[in-house]
Amino acid sequence: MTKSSSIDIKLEVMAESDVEIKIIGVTSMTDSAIGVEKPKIVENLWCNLPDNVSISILERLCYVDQIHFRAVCKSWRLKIYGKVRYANKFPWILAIEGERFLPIFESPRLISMSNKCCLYDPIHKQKYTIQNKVLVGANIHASKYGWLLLSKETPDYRTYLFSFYNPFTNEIIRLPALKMKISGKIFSCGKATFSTSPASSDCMICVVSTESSFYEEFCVSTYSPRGGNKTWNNVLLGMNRYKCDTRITRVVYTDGVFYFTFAEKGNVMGAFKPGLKEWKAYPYPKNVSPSSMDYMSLIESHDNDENLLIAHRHLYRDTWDIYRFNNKMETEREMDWCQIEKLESRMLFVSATSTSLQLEGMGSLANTIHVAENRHGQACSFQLHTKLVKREQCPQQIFDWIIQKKGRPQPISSLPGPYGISNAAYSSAQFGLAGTMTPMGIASVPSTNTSLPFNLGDLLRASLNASFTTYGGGGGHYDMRPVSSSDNNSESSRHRP
Amino acid sequence: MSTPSSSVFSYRVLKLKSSDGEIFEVKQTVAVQSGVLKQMMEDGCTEGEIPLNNVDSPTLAKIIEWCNKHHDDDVEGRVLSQEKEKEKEKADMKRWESEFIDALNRDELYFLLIGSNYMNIKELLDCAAQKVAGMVKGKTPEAIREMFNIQSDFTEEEEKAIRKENQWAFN
Repeated sequence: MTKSSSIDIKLEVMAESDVEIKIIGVTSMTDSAIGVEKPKIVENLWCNLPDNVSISILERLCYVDQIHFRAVCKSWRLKIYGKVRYANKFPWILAIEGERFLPIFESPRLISMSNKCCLYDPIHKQKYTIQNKVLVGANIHASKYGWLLLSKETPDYRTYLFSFYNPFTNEIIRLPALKMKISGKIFSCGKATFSTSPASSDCMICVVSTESSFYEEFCVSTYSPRGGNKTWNNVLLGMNRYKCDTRITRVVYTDGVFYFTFAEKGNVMGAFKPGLKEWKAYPYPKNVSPSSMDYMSLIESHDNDENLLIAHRHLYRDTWDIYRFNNKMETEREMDWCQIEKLESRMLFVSATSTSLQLEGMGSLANTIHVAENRHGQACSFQLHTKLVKREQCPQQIFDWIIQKKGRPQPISSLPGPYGISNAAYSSAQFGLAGTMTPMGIASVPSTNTSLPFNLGDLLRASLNASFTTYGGGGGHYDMRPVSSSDNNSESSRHRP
Repeated sequence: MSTPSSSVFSYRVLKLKSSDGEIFEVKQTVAVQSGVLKQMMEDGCTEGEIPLNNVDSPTLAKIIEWCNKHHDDDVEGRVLSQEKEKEKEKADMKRWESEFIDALNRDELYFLLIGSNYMNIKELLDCAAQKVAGMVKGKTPEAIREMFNIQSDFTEEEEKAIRKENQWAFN
């Protein structure tokens, strides 16, 4: 069909012009000429694709397909690969077999108990298992830019060894040891986060730890690899006039400042700008109180203008309020929280260890909040239409975040009871590559220790939710309890039915 | 293209010479889809034959077919300008594009990629790249090699190293 049409064109061209009439002869040759000019078997012809054509193809492939494409031959293994975007930016889920030691309102800790983690690609419904012994016993602090920030303690608990781990490439970046005996006092490692991809020399790691006898002091330790630096910079801080103990629940980074929240009775949010010797305190939005039974989470958002958000869940009404922090560190009084009515194209991921925001191109998943809960591996998503959305008004469809190879979702009550509690981190397919990475939060799900990948898959599949049916999301059911209460109830969930 | 004499201008033709010496005549209004030819027209250096050394005649014929189709669509679209018809035309064009691309054999597709890249015809390059992406999707490196008739030029060690780098993706 196309052959005849190509001839048509030439005739048309000829009709309009009286020059170069010899076309006629050539035209009639065209069909037979194909075989002559392009022998059917040309070895490695396709290896000669120009780089920009390869890039154009790569950009239309999902992450795993890109890896396969690049493994075909040398010329397809582009050097500039790290800058190539990929087709589907949908977040993946990273699940870690771990154990949580403290309730979430305190200092939620996520400690990996094995060398395995599982990655789930919800679009292609694939599950990948990754093993690295760096995970064993590691405390997982943050998951962003394709990297996990891990720490391990020395047996005397006085030194912390931080490292970055990239589950996609198995790369590990070890940081200098952080000594936690400062001015004769022992600090216990609280929470840590980092500012940007550890592949960048601009990356700064921030650890906020607590003096563990009186809880009256805390220490902000920062480290930047710039210029071959090997030392941590410690700043000892007191609570000033604020009356709360100094255990840290979360640390996030946005726009040059590390923000942190204190444990249960903390009524202020702390802010620390690297290079300064002081911290600043900011009150929470009026209706938000971390000491209530409601759930509150600090969220860093990496959209164009970096934002700090608070996601606050009223447990009684079961609604979400989202506040954005408008702050200029220089002018202390200018700070303000303003409530956001809509998340626009964004999705919020709220979970135990870290939380994050995903941007753009999310289709009908835009403007949704996704909560990964550790109780029975529950996680919920719901649309944030307006403020004070009531639970029953929200379209709460289950999104098939987790790939299921066979079987139907199990009823929650029949799930095997866990001894070790496993944890899931939202990850992102950008993992492992330089570029605009989207951080995903970490949440917990239960699992048995022995058959991690399969059971974990079951549990997670039954657990996470969404608003698409096109991805095969199906009916599981879910529990809207907050992460915090699930921890409190974890005893009762440990019995195998 | 914004010259006042564009009505006259539009009937002028360019003479494109393929790598194997064949001459193709193309209306300037059609040729403008090629970034390279557009630039040449703006620079006023389209006199005589324009040699396209990276494009052989069967490929050039395909490329011109594509450009003609898309050119026609533009003109009609402006005349009809009914929303529904526009929608329909869009769908028709999509179908035509996929039939056009699907009818190519593997190596024709390769030369079309090279040609559209060389002549800088973005829409055609996008369409062809999308086709290749669809072919690659979900396949192992071995299957991709087989499909495109590529011999691996990695040494055994390199092959191992590549797999180790993203081992999880090869299981």
